[in-house]
Amino acid sequence: MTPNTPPRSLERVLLLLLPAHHREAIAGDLQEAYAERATRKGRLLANRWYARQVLSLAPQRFTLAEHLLMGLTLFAILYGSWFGIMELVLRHPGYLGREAISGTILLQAVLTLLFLALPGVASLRFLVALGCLPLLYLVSLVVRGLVHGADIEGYVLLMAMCLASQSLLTAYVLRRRHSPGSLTSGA
Amino acid sequence: MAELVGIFEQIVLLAVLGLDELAYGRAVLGEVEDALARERSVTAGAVYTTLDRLEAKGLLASRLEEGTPERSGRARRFYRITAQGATALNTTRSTLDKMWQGKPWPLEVLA
Repeated sequence: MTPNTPPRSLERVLLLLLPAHHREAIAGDLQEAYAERATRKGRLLANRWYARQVLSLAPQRFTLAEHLLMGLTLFAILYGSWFGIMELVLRHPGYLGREAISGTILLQAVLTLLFLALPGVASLRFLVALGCLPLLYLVSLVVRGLVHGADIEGYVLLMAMCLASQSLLTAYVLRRRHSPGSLTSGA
Repeated sequence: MAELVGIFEQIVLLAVLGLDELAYGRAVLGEVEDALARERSVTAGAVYTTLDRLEAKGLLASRLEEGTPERSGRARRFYRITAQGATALNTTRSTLDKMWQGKPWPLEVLA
């Protein structure tokens, strides 16, 4: 870091938060302002100011669909963890397969939360869209079981309903967020 | 019917108007900081989000220009008020002026 450039770690966070359309201009503006502040008030105060600006650019306003998706995703982390831990403790035959299911649910939940928080990371969009496929596959297995009259436990049905809603909402939010330039969420 | 703009949007639009050809992100941020320094602290997030929203509403237009070495060559985004933006500012101002007519200024602070 040279005296007139912002701390690299903070700048990296800033670049992750900003959508591609605004990334260069805003990062450049804040770099200029940082240099001026560092000269006038010292590096310590300039660093504090820069950190505050970076935080202020984190997505703060979410649409209703995004709030719902966030809620469902946090719930998925809860039931995904519970399911994984229970299977690990009970170790019924075939538990490794169910551990993989739990892992898939948790991974998709984490990716979705990252996608909502870091609009600047374009690859997350693709990964989250891709992650809906295994979720929908799991839902289809439960539906198929129901159609064939299999004895399906209540919690499995509840999980399948949540996963189906999560996938549909994810598709909706991905579509709504197709304008990659907006600083305001869901625009 | 022309749009009415909120107080922070008005401040940002007026900063862009005042800066004229020099209205790029950092300059607008500086103007807004100066204008509100005593009232409240202003963050980049608030200003850039407002600029973005005003552009989405068609009240502002922007263009990118080449960056300078002090910003590592990063482009500058310059803003200008559109005809729609000017109409919105005019309508907001005349509406407020009409509402203030006949009212004492400054208002007495009631206990």
